[in-house]
Amino acid sequence: MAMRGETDKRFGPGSHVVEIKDIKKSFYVYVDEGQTVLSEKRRWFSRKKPGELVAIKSFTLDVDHGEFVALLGPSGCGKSTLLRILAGFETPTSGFVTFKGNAINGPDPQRAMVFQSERAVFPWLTVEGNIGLGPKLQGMGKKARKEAVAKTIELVELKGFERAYPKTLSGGMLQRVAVARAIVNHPELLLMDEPFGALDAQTRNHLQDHVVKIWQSIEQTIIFVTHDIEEAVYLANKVVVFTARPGEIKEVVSINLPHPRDRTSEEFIGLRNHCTRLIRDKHPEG
Amino acid sequence: MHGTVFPPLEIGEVLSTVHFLEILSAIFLILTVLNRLLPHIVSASLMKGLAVLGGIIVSWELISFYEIINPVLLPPPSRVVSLMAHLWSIGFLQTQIYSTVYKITYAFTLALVSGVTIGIMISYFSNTFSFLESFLNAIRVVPAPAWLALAILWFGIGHASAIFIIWLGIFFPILLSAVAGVAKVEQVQVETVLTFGGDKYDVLLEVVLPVIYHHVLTGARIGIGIGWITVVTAELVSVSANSGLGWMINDSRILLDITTVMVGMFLIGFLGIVSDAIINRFEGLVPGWD
Repeated sequence: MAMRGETDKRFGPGSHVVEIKDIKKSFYVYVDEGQTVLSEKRRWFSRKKPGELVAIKSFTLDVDHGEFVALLGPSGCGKSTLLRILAGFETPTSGFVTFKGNAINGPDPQRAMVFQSERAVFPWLTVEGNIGLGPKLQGMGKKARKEAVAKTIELVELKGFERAYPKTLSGGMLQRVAVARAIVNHPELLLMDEPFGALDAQTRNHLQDHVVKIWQSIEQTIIFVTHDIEEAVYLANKVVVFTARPGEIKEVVSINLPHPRDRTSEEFIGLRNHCTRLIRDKHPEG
Repeated sequence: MHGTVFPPLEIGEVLSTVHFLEILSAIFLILTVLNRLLPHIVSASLMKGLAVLGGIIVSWELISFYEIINPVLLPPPSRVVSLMAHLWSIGFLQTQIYSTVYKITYAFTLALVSGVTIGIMISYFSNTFSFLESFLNAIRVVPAPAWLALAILWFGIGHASAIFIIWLGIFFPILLSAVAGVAKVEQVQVETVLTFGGDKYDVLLEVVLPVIYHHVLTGARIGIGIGWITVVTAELVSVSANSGLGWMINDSRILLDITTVMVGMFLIGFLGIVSDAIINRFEGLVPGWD
């Protein structure tokens, strides 16, 4: 177990932004009235012996400042669980995770998260209100907040929609609000959990360019979870390919193509096919 | 409390049935013209509704006029209208309306604050306060009249007891709606606030309250309806004159003054619609997904 809350002396500050050292995450599986329930803790008064579901089995990875890492794998391979551990919502069963040399102990504004669901945007707040939520909770003054929000709105190209309520926005715009809300504080690390999974292909491509632009304009470390191979190769400079559950690293593919990338270039297609083969390996049926 | 303090209610001038039907036809004629001129305000569907209502009133009037049912037991609408006009002209009705509206508003405000607060306590802070839930459920199913004796012992005879009984009626729908609302808070909304460095109380302010808003509003609408239902029971504890519409109904019921009872019933129904419309106004204040 990691020493919670205190600096781990083995890692000097600043060497890596994120260090994941041999973590394992498993859940207890109970069946309640025919429904499967995952539980962190073992129940005290249960006659039945619970099953064990290993979401992540032995995972080690370092992420440096300014890197764009994509976690790629089939659904249920534990990549989202890993992201939730990095966000501080869950703790690993064994092994430890550090952020800037400190063990991760709960959520932190320095590790912002863009959720998969559009419903993470608050429908009762305007676009402005949603984006200003983070600064507000951190006690930023009204004037500074307004400035920061205006800047971010410009960056995600939502100008003119400051006063709009989420129910009037399209799915793509909602995800841009979600991204803007996460980056407005300039967090050190941006965690994105399949943010464009529910969008149509055209909007998705557009937003991918957006994310690259944001990543280039405000030097940021991004960890991006996806099951879309092309998306991972298009965005990241390091694609971590997972095995099927229990999640382990199959291979870390470095992508050294310059942005903007050409989806039809030979190198791109070669890398994409390589990743496809890596994922296919475990699923010969395809 | 046997009508000793009830002022003598002699109807100054009773509309004759013929006169009453004439007035009704005149109103209907004006509405028909308005329907032609301003179809947006006086719509066809409104006219249909009014026609049905008019038909009922006319048949009711005729039933009394031809004494198919004893007019003492079923006073004709002409008589009810005349009495209402008379009671209004001497200022008696206004006093009763004010007294009842005051009590209902008082009880409603108390119920809203206590219902939301306790609802959040037993659902959002359920680790500490969930033990209250079964206790409150037991109280909830006890009908309001059962509380009368206790209310009088605790709060004495008068407004305070009545407000307590009305509060009981409004409190539980609001409590239940607040609890149901808290259950609708999504994990991802909570986690959003947590990633921005917020704590449990920030989540309460930024997420829980906006989410439960619409649920509480529905609870408030059901609650105010029950509040009006309990008015007659609640004002059983009133003995002084000028103590509300419920008291007026109780007192004239004992004297078999059915006309006054009907005036009270009509006014409670009307005020019920008004209060519901006022609460409905708050619906659009906090936008949701649809």
